[in-house]
Amino acid sequence: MSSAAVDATGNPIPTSAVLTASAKHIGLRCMPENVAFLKCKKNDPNPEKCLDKGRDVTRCVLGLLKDLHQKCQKEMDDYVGCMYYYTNEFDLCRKEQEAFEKVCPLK
Amino acid sequence: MTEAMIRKKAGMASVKDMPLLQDGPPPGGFAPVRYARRISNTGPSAMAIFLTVSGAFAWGMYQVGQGNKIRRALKEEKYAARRAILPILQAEEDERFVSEWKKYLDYEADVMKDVPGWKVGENVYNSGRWMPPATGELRPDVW
Repeated sequence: MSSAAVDATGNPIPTSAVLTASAKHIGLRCMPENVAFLKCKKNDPNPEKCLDKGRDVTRCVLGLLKDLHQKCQKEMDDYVGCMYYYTNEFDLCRKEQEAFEKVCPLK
Repeated sequence: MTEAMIRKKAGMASVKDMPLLQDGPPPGGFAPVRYARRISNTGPSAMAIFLTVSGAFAWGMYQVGQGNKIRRALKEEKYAARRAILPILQAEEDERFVSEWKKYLDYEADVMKDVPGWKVGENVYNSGRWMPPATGELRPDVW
């Protein structure tokens, strides 16, 4: 398991540490896509029927991760490293979380 | 040497007449020792003790409530994070599943191509809802 946040081309890998670190940003900025996808799923759980909305969600989240990583690279790497070390426990990474949210605010 | 040589008295007839060498009380005896109980009747009354204890209990339960509030907020934070990342995880799994399912349907068509009247793919339940395939193995490559 790699604890690095980015792969070879510089894109953030959506591992559990990266996703939980940016979960608040995802919940805020990708909310329309998420809600649309969940409504589609509730309507019909067939995966083939919600593929397009799923692609919207993936595009939004991966773009958001790349955007966050470009804006506040060091703080995000620190936060993701702390999340990886403490297995996605928010309360043990408050310092890194505050540093991260100071540079990349939640708005 | 023997005790008789150390403790002898002049003109002693036998060992039984030696002067005594004993541990005993000092002259005049020991000082008197008090052994009577002395438990005082002063101190807090029953009502005071009861109020103190119930006050401590009430304050403790209040602290428990505050702690529960904090813990609930932490749990809510964790659940909100999970809710936020659920759609992307499900979307990625859907993509993977659809490609694997297509491969499986092709395999099924290949196996059953000589069977007359076999509708390939999804001869599953009749309710009209989509059900996940019940092979007993969710991810054979993982397990």
